[in-house]
Formats: sequence, structure tokens, C-alpha cells
Amino acid sequence: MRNQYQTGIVELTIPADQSMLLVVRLTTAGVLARSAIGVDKLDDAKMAVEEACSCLMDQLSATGRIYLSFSRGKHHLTVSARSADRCPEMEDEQTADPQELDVVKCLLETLVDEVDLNVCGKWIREIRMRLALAD
Amino acid sequence: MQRAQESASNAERLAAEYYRNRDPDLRDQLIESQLYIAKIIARKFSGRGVDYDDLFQVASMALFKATERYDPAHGVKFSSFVTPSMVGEVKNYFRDRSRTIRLPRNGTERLARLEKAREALTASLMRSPTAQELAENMHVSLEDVLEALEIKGAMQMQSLDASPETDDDAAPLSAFLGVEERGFSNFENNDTIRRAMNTLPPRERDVVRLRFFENLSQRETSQRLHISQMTVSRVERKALSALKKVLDGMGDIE
Repeated sequence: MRNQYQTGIVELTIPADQSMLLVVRLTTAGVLARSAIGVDKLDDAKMAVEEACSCLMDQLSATGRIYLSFSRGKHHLTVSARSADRCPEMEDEQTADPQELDVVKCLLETLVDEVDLNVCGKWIREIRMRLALAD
Repeated sequence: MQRAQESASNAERLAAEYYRNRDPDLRDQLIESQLYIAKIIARKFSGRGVDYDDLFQVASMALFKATERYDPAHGVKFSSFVTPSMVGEVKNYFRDRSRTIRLPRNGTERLARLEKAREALTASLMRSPTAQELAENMHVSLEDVLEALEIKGAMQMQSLDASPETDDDAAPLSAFLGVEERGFSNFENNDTIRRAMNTLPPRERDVVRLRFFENLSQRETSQRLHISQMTVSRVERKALSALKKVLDGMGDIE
């Protein structure tokens, strides 16, 4: 794991394996440990980051990898979860499943302050989330 | 894509019609059309100590209640209205019912429980327990134990470096326990500290714990133990001197 204290960025690369979700949760807790957010919001953040990684894992093979980055500013934490694999070639007749993506986005929005899904057809490229930190 | 759009617009039509006439059959059709959302949400939250069936039931009830509350005049799509309601209710239910009991949020209480479990398991296993064994013994999640161990490390490091209070003459604890790096590395070893503390009489042990691990002032310590502040000061000096001798002795043996 590469840690850049000067820029406030923490980066983590993990295999697409559900057992890694514990690492994701603990890393999220560690990054937020010294902020002044309440424990409920911390729990929500951990669940959101775990869910984002879980969504990406569902679309990857066992050899896939996920890049996770935490960018900490003075008032916000931005978390990005993205797949290391390329977006697969999509057939013309394949279509997006907006309903499930809508539910995922809604679920994440109840846990963090802002959510942005970057999709390529049915494939989630990246999930970016923003969390306001206490002053 | 086209089928999804047709389904969505059908739900909007049903929702508007139900709002107008409150026909129970329409309501049932409408709810049936959105149950897939309840399934997705229940699946997302399950597997963390709460049953899928319970979560699906909660999500379905939330869907029912949201359907009754929905008003098309507000300009919000039906699925956009009911989904946050379902997620919110399931999230609250999940928080309340999660089967893994969380360790107390209060750091001191959390660590006290952890230490008690650790001592008991060390005695019964005749070795240091793993984090997993601690979690199973305390009926909490592995994650809770790992986080608590991190807190413990941070609290003890803080006790080392900080003076107990600003209006005391007392130097930092570390000043009493040797200046060699080996002394510090021994001090950071939880087992070594525990063994050294166990050699102290109960009162001395209490004073050291309250002053340097719970970071109380001498005045607060005297109030907690119902003794004078002067006694706290005297007992503290005696205890720290004794600890230094014990730890120096441990260092020689190692």
C-alpha cells in the first residue's frame, strides 16, 4: 500500500476476492480515524466503500484487481474504487441495466454525501464517493 | 433497455392511477412491480449477521408504506421515491439487529473487555490468543477486535509521550523507565508491561493505571481512589521506581 501523507492520498490495490473486504473496511476506518466524524457516519463510510468494492468484484474474475484510493482534504474525503481490468467490448445488442445501477447508487447515497458511477454499458468502471468531514 | 423503460413508465402510470382511486388491486400490482428493488437491497445488506428474509420483509413493508405516501404532484418518479425509503428502513433495521454485538464505543470500556478476554484466554490456552480467538470468545466481529487492538496501541503510545497533566511536576512516564531504546521497545510490549504491573501492590497498580493509561490528573486520581493528592504523588513515585527496577531486570534476563 502506498501512502502519501503530503498529498493526503492513500492508495490500495486488492485482489477481487470477497475476503479482502475486511482489509477495505479496516483501511477506511484507519483513514478516517483522526477525523471528527461520528461513529455512525464512520460505519456508513465503511459500508459504502465495502459495497462499492463488492459491486466491482461481482463483475471481475478471480484474477481481477481493484484500485482503491482515499483522497483526504480539509473538509472532504473522496474515495474512488475502480477496476483494474479494461471495460470489455460490448455487443450492440447488450444494454445497460439501469435499474440495478440505480438501486446501488441510491444505496450508496444513503451512506455517503455524493456518489458518481462511471459506467460503460453494464460495466462499472469506477465508483467515486464524497464524504463531508466535521470541521 | 426498452423493456426496462416500458416497465418504469408502467409503474409511473400505475402509481398515478392508484393515487387517484386507491384501488387495492392496483396497489398490489404496483408493489409487485417494485419488489425486485426490495430483493436487491436485502441482498446487499444480508450476510453480515442479519437474515436475508428479515431484510426482505423490512424492505417490502417500507415499499408498502412508501406507496401509500407517494404523491405524483411532487414531480418525483415513483421508483426514485420508494427506493430511498426502502434503503433507509433496511439500514436502520440492520443497525439495530446486527447479530454481531459491537464492542462498547467508549475506548476505555472497550479495552477493559478486551484485556479481560485476553487474560482469560492466555491462561486457558497457555499462549497468546489470536485475534480470531478473541473475537469468538467475546462474540464480536474480528474487525472489532482488530480496531480495538489499534486503539490500545495508540492509547499506550500516548501515555508514554505525554506528561500526565500540565500543572504537575511529574515528568512523562517514559522518563522513569530508562532512556535506552531497548527500554522503550520493551515498554511498548504489552505483555512486558502487564507482567511488570502485576508485580506492584494493588494501590500502586491502580495509581499507575489511572495516571498514565487513563491520563487522569493527580487530583482526579485522588478523588477516584479516595486518597489525598499527596498520597497519590508519593505512591506514584514509589510505583514508577519499582517498575523501573522490574523492567530493567526483565531487560537483563532477555
